Amino acid sequence: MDSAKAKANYAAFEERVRRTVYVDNLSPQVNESILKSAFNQFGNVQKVEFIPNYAEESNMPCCVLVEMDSPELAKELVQAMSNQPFMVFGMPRPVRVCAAEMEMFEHRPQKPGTKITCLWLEPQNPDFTIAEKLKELTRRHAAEASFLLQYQLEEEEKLAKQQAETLEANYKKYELIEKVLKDGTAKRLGHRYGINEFDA
Amino acid sequence: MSHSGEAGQNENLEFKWGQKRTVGGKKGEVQFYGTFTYDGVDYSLYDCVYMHNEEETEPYIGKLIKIWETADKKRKVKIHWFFHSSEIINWLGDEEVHANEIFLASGEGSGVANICDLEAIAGKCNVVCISKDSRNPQPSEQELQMADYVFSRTFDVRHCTISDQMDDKVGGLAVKFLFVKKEEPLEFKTERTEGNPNGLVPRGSEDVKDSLVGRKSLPDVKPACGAALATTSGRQVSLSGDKATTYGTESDKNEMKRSKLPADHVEAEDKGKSSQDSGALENKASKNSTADGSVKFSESRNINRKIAVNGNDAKALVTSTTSTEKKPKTVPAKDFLGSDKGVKSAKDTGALDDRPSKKARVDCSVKLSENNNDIGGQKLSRNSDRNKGKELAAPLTSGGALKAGVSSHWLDKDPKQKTDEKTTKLSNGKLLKVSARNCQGENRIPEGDTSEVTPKPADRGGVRRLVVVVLVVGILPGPSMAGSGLLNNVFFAASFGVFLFSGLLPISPLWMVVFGACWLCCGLGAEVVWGAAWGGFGGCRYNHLSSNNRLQHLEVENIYIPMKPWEQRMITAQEQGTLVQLSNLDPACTSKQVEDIIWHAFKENCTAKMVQHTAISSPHSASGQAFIILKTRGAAERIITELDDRCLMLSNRSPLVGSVPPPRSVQKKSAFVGHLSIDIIKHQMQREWKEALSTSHYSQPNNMEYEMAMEWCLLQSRSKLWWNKFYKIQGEELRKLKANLKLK
Repeated sequence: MDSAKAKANYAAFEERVRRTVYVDNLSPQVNESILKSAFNQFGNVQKVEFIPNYAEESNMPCCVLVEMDSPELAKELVQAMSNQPFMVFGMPRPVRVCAAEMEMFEHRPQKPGTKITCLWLEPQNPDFTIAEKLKELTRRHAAEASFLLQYQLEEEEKLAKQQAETLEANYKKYELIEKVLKDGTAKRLGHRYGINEFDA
Repeated sequence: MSHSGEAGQNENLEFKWGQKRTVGGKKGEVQFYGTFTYDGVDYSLYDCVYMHNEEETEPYIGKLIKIWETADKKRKVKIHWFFHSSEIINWLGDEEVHANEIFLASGEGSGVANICDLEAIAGKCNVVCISKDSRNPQPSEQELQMADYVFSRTFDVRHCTISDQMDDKVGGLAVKFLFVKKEEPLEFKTERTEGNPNGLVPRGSEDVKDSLVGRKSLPDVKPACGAALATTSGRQVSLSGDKATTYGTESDKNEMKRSKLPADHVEAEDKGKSSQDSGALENKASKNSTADGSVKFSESRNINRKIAVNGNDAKALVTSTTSTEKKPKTVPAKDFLGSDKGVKSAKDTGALDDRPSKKARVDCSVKLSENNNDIGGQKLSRNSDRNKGKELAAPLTSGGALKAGVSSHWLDKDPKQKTDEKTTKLSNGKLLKVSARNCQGENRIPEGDTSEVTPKPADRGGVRRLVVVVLVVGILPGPSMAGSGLLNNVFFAASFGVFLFSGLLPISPLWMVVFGACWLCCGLGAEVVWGAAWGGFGGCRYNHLSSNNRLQHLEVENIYIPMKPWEQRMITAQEQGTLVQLSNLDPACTSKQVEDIIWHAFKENCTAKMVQHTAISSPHSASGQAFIILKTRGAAERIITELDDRCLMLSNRSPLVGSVPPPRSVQKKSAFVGHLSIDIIKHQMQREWKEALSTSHYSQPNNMEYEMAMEWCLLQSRSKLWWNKFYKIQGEELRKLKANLKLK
């Protein structure tokens, strides 16, 4: 690929990136059509691309790249959804939306003008020890990151459980109230105590 | 919007007109004034004042632009409004707002200025204009410190936009009255200029006290109010501590006392206030009726404010749940659930207080995270690191160009070498073996050599194809000449067809050996079946293991054939032990580049896939990860051990790390937490449920769902904060180590 074409390609890619929003916290049952109809409320959705999750735990919520028509629309979306919770496919966990980045895309063109070099270091080279340390550090960081991710998932689970409990409790209360009103118990009790509001 | 005229009627506060100006009205019955004294505070035209506020506890801020007394002795003022950022939050978007920034109303409309009773004035306010407009003299540090609020931007009430351009007339107010005016004679009688805190200093101490009293006259702020007011009050407190020389009043003493303690303990100290204070506080906490609003207000004017300081560093954030969006507000719904605005009624329970504060915190943290996002976004653009890497790469490559040239030339030569060898020694399978081994053994880059990773010879596939065809053509006559009759020839033809087909695809040297052996067997007259079996077997195994090669080749050739999805292949590869996970790559690397790196360093063919970033991926320059599938388990293990023992430095100054990826559970549908449903209803509405679930919507703040969604938002922002902090720390560690690298 000659360089002019490469540059044009890359520029087109960058433009695509600007037009795309990254959506997170999605249920794995969400599919492309659901997302399309969800985001079509705001503007034309050009493409929906799922980001597959290989490296992390398979329990993570899904992420998706949604490509819109224009970068302004994308920005607007990000802003709007950061201020107000938007639900897709279920409640009450809202999706998280932010601007897309280049690394999120699957097929990226190479940045024109960049070269990758690699170099085998000799053990005598003083950089070698540092490189060894770097390698170790990388490994440690990866472990730490996965630990943090675990923690996050735990927190999410906790919150969900807590909400579920609250919801159930509240629902029971409402149900109770409704039942009592419906079958006349409230009315009778009310008469007994002189409160007549339940006569409806 | 006009404030109630009841303010001040229950109590006659001290009032005195000051300097007279013109006379107006149809019959000259209206007297305009330039200055006045109200309740011990001197005001003059173009001063900024706090205005009473029935429902909200945060006062409005406005600028006096006209002061007059009507014919029936009513005192009126015309106020040009400022907006708190919380009032225009819907139009603020992503803009950054200072902690005590307010916005001048501009444009045309009813929200710009109003006529109010003079008695609705609650106190004086020090607003400093920090606009970068050339006509505005920039305020000094001291002025800024003493300012209650700053402003530099306007909010157009008609278009609901924010701008920092100051026209000559902003909403009908000549702009010179907005800017900071420098020193002028400071007698009280003359027209004081606006926003001139310097004026305070040379005045007598009495005036200072007055102005401070004025400042203290802010009403109590509900704990749920954002940190903005907390910070301003904190500053005021410290300020009054500074000027605590001539004060004798009890309230001043209180203030002094308070200023000594750090802001965190303010709450604790508030509890120890005098009974008068707590009494007034309770009044405040109870229903704010309009009638006695002003009475209490004036009582509490000298009372210290109860400040709830958020423990976390929310200084940069200006959100307040208590004020509403627009000036002409409607009474906010006092809904129990999810009423995030205007929850100040007497029905306030402790829980309700928590909820607005939670919202404040959510907004705070969301805003903070947004700010962090911005910072993170800049980090993510990663210009400096990558550019540096590129610059570094350039001299490196030029330095090693000679060697690189040699080695890459060597690379190019090899396939040709292979071809030559094969064409000359075709009928001899053993020689094939030899040449294959040569290929593998010789193409190592000598150590200590930086070489540019050029793309693998892209036409290798084509060359190989040619090789195979030639091989087949060459070998075919050999065995048949050595061998038997027509049957064999038929068989050969059939196998030849098989070969041709498989010859469309690149074959590794090893398989050439196998096929060669197969041919030899056939040629030497072994069983036809044996030969066929070999051929078939070879073909099958080839298909199986070389599917990745097929992928590469097809990419090159632009032939579209549906391939197995990557994930499937990854799983198979993992089972077979040919999957390797690489880390420390440059995130801007593409999959193709990764393949090139592996080829260059290890002479191994592989298919690579860069792991795509998500919102929680590291922003550092070495956070690229990739999965590669190699052809054999041996190759995978070799690569891992070599990367471990030796050290392959990449252009992003990080050594490549290879590891065996941990086994992944192959759950297809993972459990997703957070989506709730009520089971009973679910059963009842099975069919409808499916349709209902597919609708996506914004959650409205009038139901339980909203509240729960808010909790999730809170968790999400918290998690964003963790990750940011985490990566910051990691980045530091990386940086420290890398600083010692001599590799430049």
